[in-house]
Parts: sequence; C-alpha cells; structure tokens
Amino acid sequence: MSTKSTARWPKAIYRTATEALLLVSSAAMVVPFVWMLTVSLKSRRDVFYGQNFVPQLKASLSALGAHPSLVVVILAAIFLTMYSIVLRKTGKHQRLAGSISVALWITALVLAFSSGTLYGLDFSAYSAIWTRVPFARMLVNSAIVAISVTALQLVTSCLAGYAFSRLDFPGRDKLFWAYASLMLIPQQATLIPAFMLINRLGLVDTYAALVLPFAAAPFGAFMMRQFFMALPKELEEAAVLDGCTRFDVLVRIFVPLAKPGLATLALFSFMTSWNEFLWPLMVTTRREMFTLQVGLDMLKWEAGTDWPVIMAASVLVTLPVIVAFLFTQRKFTRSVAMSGINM
Amino acid sequence: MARTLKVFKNEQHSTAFFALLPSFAVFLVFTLYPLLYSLSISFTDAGLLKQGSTFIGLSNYVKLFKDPTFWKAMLNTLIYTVAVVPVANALSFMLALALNRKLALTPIYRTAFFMPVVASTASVATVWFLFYDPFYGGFNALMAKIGISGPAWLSDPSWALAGIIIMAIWKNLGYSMVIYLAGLQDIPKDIYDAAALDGAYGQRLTRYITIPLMGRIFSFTMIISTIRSFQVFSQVRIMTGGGPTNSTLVAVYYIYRQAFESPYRLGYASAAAWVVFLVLGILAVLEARTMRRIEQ
Repeated sequence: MSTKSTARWPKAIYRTATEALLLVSSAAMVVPFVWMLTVSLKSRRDVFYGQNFVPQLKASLSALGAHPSLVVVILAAIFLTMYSIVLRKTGKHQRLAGSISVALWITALVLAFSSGTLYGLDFSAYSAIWTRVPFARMLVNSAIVAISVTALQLVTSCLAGYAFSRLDFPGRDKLFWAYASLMLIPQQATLIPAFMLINRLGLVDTYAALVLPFAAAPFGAFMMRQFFMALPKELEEAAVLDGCTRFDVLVRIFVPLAKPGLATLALFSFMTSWNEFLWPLMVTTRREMFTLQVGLDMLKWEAGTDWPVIMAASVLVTLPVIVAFLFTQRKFTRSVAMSGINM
Repeated sequence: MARTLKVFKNEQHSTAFFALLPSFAVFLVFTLYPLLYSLSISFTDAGLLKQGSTFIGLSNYVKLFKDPTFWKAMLNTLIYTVAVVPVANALSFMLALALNRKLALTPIYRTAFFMPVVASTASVATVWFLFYDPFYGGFNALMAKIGISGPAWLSDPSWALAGIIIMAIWKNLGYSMVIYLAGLQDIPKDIYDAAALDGAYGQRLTRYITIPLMGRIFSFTMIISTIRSFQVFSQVRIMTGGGPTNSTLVAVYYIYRQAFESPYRLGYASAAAWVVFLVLGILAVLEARTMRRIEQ
C-alpha cells in the first residue's frame, strides 16, 4: 500500500514535467513564425534601429491594454481557434467554432485598425511586395499549378487505386508494390533528363512543364487503394449484376463513398505542389512564369536588406497552407501518417 | 455461368489497363525514361548549350572522383544526414510517446510541432536566413536572453552547416512525430493491460512492449528520412547558396550547379546524380538490414 502511494507522487511530478516541457517546446516551435510576422509589420528602419523582438512584443502587448474591447475580442478569437483545434471530431460544432473564430479575428483586425492600436505597426511592406516583383502573377501561377496538379492527381490516383484494389488481374499486387516503391526514388536521379525532355519539347516557361510531371504520384495511388480496400465487396457485386460496367462502379459508387479519402489526398497534393521549389526553379526562366516559392527566392536577392518586404512575402506564401492545415488538421496529419503506417 | 465469368474477367482486365494507363504514362515519361537516360548521358559530354554529344566512357566518373568539391559535398550531405535523421527521429519518438497520453492540450502541441512541416521549405528557409542574422536576427537575441552569445551562424564556415541542421530538425520533427503517433495508437490496449497484469509498468512497458512493436515503423521512418535528407536542396540554396567556402555545399546542390551554371555540363552532372543515387541506395539497404537485425 505504501509503495503505491510513493509511486504515485513521482508519477504526478513526471506528468507535470512532461506537460511543462511540451508547453515550452511547442512555444519554441512557433517562435520563427511569430518572428516572421513581427518583422513583416515593422518599418525598414525599425528592423535595424528599432526595438528588438522581445521588447517590441512586450510593448505591443501593453499597448493593447488600453483597449479592453479589443482584448476581449482577441481572447475570444484565440479561445475559439484553440477550441476548434482541440475538438477531436470534425463536425458541425467544430466548423461553427472555426468560422466564428475567423469572424472574430477579422473583427479584431478592424477594431485594431480603427482604434489606432496598430500605430506601431507598419503595413507598407504588404503593399510594397506587389510592385517589387510580379507577386500577383506568381500567386496566380502557384494557384493554377497547385489546383491542376491536385485535380489531375485525384483522377489518376482514383483510377490507379481502384485497379490496384478492386480489379482482378494477374500480378496485381506485385505490380502495385513495384509502383509504390517508386516513392523511394530520389528526385535528383531523374532531374536532369526530365528537364532536358521539357527543354527539347519547348515546354520551358509553360504551365505544362510545371504540372505534367506531377500529374500522377505513387503516393496517391497508394492512398486511394487503402480507401477502396476498406469498402465492402457486396457493393460492386450487386452493381455488376445490375449491368454496371467496372468503370461505372468506380464513378458511381466508389468515388462518392471515398469522398473523405479524396479530400485528404486533395489537401496533401495541394500542399506538396504549392510548396515545390526545385522543379519550378529549373523549368521557369521568365519571372512571369515563376511560382511563389521561386519568386520568394528572387525577392530575397532583389530586396536585399528590405527585411519587412521579404518577411511579408513569406507570410503570404505560408499563410494559405497554414490556414488550410489549421482547419483540416486531422485530415492533413492522417495523410502523412498513412504514408508511414501501412507499409 | 463459366462464360459470363470469362467475359467478366476480361472486362476487369481492360478496365485495369485503362485505369493504370495515365499513372504509368507519367511514370514512364518522367521517372523511368529520365532514370535510364541520365545513366546513358553520364558517359557522354552532353551539355545544355551544345548540340549532340560524344561518348567519353568513364571519364565523367573519373573526373568526379578526382574533384575535391564533390567529396566535400558528399561529406556535408553525410554529416547533415547523420545529424538530422537520428536526432529528429529520437526527439519525435519521445514527443509521440508524450502526446500519446491524451493530455488536454495534445492537439495544440501537435499543431505547433506540425506547422513547420506544412509550411514550404522555401518560405521557412527565407525566415531562418534572416532569423539567424547575428546582429538583427531573432535567434541570437533569444540565445542572449539565456546568456549564450551565439556564433555568426550562416556566415561562419564552421557554424553554417550546424545552422542548416538545426533548422532542418525544427522543420522535420513533426513529420516523424505524426507517423510514430499513428503507430502508437495502433497498438492494441489489451497488450498493455496484459503486461500490467504481469507486473510491468512505466518505462518497462515502453521498453519491452512499445519499442519492439514499433520496429517496422522505426525502420520505415529512418529510411524515408535518410532519403529525404539526401535530397536536401531548397534550404541550402536559399540560406547559404552552398557557402561560405563550400561549407554547406550538399550533393543535390552540387548536381544543380554543374547542370545549370556555366559551363552547363549535363553529362557530368548526371554522373554525379548516379553516384549519389547509388550511395544512397547502399546506405538505405544497410540501414534496412541493421534495423531488421535490431528487430530480431
């Protein structure tokens, strides 16, 4: 009995220690993002002669104290955002909390603007980006490429995943594992000839060059196969007896049932395509065809010491993926976990 | 019945053929053909600016092995891999163990650790490039708070690679963490209950049950992260450009430079790509073997 109670105390200490350690380290993980945001909101002069990171943060926090209504809105927004993250199941509840939190964040911004709390903040970097480089054009390029890649990958992955899970042909599983093992081939081994091919076809500086190599990915086939395998066999048997072709079965029955899987795959493809750097760097030469990631690299060289502009651009490049992730993080993490767990 | 069954089977075959066609077309054009083609031009003097090429046998490879810069790049890649893979994996496994206990704030922690994975390497590398600035960056300012005066990081040849490594660990921690977490959640609870009945508890449960059961996932993440580490490019390109004095030059950046900077030696770059590919292949096989031996 006595051993049990002594054992319980260290356990509680151990728990608290873990929790404290986790809290500190996850705060540390976010620091570079916070720093990026603060630098993007400074004037160019303040970066080098103004207050440093920590005192500046303190100053803006104490400036907030003068506006209780703003503080309330921000706290509510933070609370609701966290709440929607903490909810374990996605559902109406979470979506409601999520959308209210977005509304609150916008209100907070408007309030902050109108009350002049943002006096110390400098938004000029955010307006300067658009003229410094063809940022809008790059944003459009990135969107076109990421959306096309996602759409194509959904189609090709559905088809391949269906064939690998639901159609019977000799050597199917061997072929699947051979195809899936392509995920392990490093990009660098194929990079130069792939570029030469694009070059010879005259596709440099085209969307085709940016999209086509990613039109199908083994990971997508792998993932859709997993989803289709989980569906009951009776479904397709009944449909085939009713005279559906195998292709009909895929389009009319399997695809609608695999919607959650498709959403997960779509998020994953969008993120990887949006973030791709090396390939766009190779196949584009005109800045009008750059994607955001390549544009960021260029801006970094051109803006030189104009840190706020560089950081504002980084914020805009990072924001879409981070926001998409915050609202769909279960799906996001599941897609990554799947790549590891089922091998 | 037998007849319909036969027709049935044929339809499956034809559907499978057309369903796999797009994926395999992309694979043939953008993976298999380039892979073989790069092997064949690695024996030629192919270049970006010149027409045609001549067969020059193994001289690209000979030149490559004599180039100290190539060895420097390989060594840096190896140092980077050996530093990032074990550290990031060990840390993320510990994180996963801690988060697996369903603490109240688990989703918040998971979000914080996963955010760098989601953000693009180009953008976070840009952030860290400025973050590391010894005078106006945030990193040394924060280090100074706890009484450490940091080095010049990216502009110091002896610290630049370390800077890239720290950033890479920060960026990749969440990736393996999520995989480990999913693996931990897959372990049936009965096993722990049975072990607890036998008198195992705490650390012992982790040591004798969790870790052995996670064996396959360990091998997988180790190999995947080794492959990913060997492909490091974006952060080097953005943060240091391989410098100062080649102290952060890595394999892929070396290949990129040979191919896309004057004199645009595509044949030579392909030879380098193949050597790197083979070294990585050997490394991955060795790793898989060692992991399997440890498992048994």
